[in-house]
Amino acid sequence: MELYKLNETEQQMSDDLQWALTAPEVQQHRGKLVAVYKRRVVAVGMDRMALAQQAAGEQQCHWGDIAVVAVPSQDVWQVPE
Amino acid sequence: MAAGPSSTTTPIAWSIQTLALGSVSFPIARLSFQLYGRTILPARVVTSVDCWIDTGAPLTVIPFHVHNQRLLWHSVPGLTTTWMGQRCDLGRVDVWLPTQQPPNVRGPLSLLAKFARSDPPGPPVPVLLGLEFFLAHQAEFVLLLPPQHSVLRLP
Repeated sequence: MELYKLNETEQQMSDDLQWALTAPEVQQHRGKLVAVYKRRVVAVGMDRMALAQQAAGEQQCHWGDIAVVAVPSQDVWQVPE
Repeated sequence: MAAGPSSTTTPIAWSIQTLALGSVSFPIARLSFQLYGRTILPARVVTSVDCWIDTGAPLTVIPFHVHNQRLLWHSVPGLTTTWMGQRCDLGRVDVWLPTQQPPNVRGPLSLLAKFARSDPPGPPVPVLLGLEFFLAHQAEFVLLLPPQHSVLRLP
């Protein structure tokens, strides 16, 4: 096992996702996928690929650069298995 | 890449919402963090994915929307299973963990998981990290109460 240093592209996406895990403007979208780019919410929906491609078109970047997080829903009756 | 460390720690955050149903109010909590998976995307080795710790799951689940066209993984030939009614392939993917020790990323760690072939109806979920990961890598998990972060420790 080794330590690894992220490159610039990887680091930006990592920073965006880390921010999204706690940012109120992201977490308000319960039960949805939220796309984030440079610490801004750029799309919200249920289809990851559609969100990432839409956001990438608007931000003029590769869709793989868009961080997408699944915000927990309030559905407590559905337990992941 | 540098030489391996003796021990690293990964902070795990609480995600807590409060749900009010009639006269009852209670917390809806998840333990969330990000990990990095080996990717097929251009100009990078890893991509960030969000993850919940699921101590009720023997195996990790990687939903279709997470791995589709993003992660480089290898199926275990001939083995399929299900998750929430969706057909899954059993497979392996290399992952890295963010650490509190510089340079702040550790791996690769081989992860055995169910790779869903489709997404179930309802709210999307991220990667659900199952107990196999902890046993395979002798990882410890220390659950601390909020607002503290819990800790995943690798030897």
